[in-house]
Amino acid sequence: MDAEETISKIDRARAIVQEIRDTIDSPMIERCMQLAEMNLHWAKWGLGGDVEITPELEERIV
Amino acid sequence: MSTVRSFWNPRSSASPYWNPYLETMPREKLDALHLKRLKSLLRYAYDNSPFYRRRFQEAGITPDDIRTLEDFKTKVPITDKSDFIHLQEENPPYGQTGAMPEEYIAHHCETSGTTGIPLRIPYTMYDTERYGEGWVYGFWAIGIRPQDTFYFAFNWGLFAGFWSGYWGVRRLGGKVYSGGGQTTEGHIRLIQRLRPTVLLSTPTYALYMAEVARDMGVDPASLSIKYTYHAGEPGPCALPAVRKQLDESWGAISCECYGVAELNSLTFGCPTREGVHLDETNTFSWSRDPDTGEEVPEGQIGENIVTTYVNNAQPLINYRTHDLVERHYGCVCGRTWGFLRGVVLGRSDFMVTIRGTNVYQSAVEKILGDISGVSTHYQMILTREKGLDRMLVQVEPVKEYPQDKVGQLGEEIGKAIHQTLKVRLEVEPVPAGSLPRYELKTKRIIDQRPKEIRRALDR
Repeated sequence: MDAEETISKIDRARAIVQEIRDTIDSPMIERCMQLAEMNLHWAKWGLGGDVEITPELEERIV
Repeated sequence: MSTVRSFWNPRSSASPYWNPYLETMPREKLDALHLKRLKSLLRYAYDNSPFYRRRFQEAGITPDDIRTLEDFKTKVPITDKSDFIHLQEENPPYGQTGAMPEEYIAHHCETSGTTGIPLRIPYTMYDTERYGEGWVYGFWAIGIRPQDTFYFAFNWGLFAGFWSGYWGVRRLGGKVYSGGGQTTEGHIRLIQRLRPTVLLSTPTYALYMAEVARDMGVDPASLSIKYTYHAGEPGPCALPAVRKQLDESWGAISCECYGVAELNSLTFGCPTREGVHLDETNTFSWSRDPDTGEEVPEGQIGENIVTTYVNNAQPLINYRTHDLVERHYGCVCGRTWGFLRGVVLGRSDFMVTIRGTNVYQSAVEKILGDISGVSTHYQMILTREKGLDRMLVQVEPVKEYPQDKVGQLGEEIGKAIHQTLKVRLEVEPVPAGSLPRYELKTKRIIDQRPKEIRRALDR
């Protein structure tokens, strides 16, 4: 799998994670999703992807 | 089915690089990526940190004015530790230097305070993950893998140093053995019992541990350690003599990370062990003539100016490290990331590292100035005994100082140094008029350690 294809899959995963973050009513699950989003942002960064310096600055992926 | 899946897929674990995409990215593409990331960082800092907004306004720029790496190097203001310390003191804990709301801060470290006042370093959770990752590049490069087990001969205080190494081991997936609170003999006994494969410590402490082991009748090379990994002082990628001593003492492969507490674990040892590679996932850096401020070309010695992408809690942009380095690009190991031959070759200020703690001449001078009865004449003599660095501060009392109280004066100075700098230096009052006289503010540190363990520019 090349970097571009991997980034595209990461974006899809992030969109799902963000959706859970925005709708969940459990702090435990929200924290899991925060950390998941952080790691997905970091993976995209590690592939040279087009990301802001920190995920909190980014628009939601839809 | 209840079998645990394997930790790695075989393709990843066979990779010679932790991150093959970025570590071997062609230089031109990597520079374009840096520019994109620097623009994001500048916008972030400008919008969220009052300090940077003011500094940019004073320089007459906005983030939109930075369109090239050349713009970044020449237009974005240079920052220094004193800028941050000053603002933090005015408005603790982080002054106007922070860029993230307090709720994001997950860890607080401090520099050793050896310039007089410690610099406070806030980290978000993400900052700690990224900071730790800087170590993993080095672990992987030298052959350390997640199945390795790591013994930290480190006391877990406020100093960032090996905390970031710990974050790195967690990131890698290795096993941690914490050696906090142990005596040196205790470390050796734990290593005998736990059988770790990697020792993390300052290089001089690893050598001291080896000596203590021998005194205990234990050959350190017979222990389980396969790798020793170091930070905090010039180590095996900087000094061939230290590399040889470490490798032979522990029967292991030694390597190092050169980092700056407030910035990042900046670099990791190249497998050639003739220098370190810059971690260009986490940082952008360039070399500057400390006197003229002009960029120096590849292969020439200049001060390492670093911007970190890692510290979002307190951004550090075009930050002076005061470390003099010789930067190259292109390496036999295949990495395109910058290479610092010999690691740090010297300092643009007067600083030495004693047992992992940075000791600035100016900080010692300030302490002496606050004690009555001490003249302005002093010198600091650095030696190495039993593998450890020792510093003797020779001071002259004023001429009229009562002779019978000179001993007490020495003790008072020693206590003041320990209290302020958190490092024990020996103090020797010497007769008035016996020390050399200096007309200008100049180096008072006399390095009498063997030549092969001094930084290249200090030989």
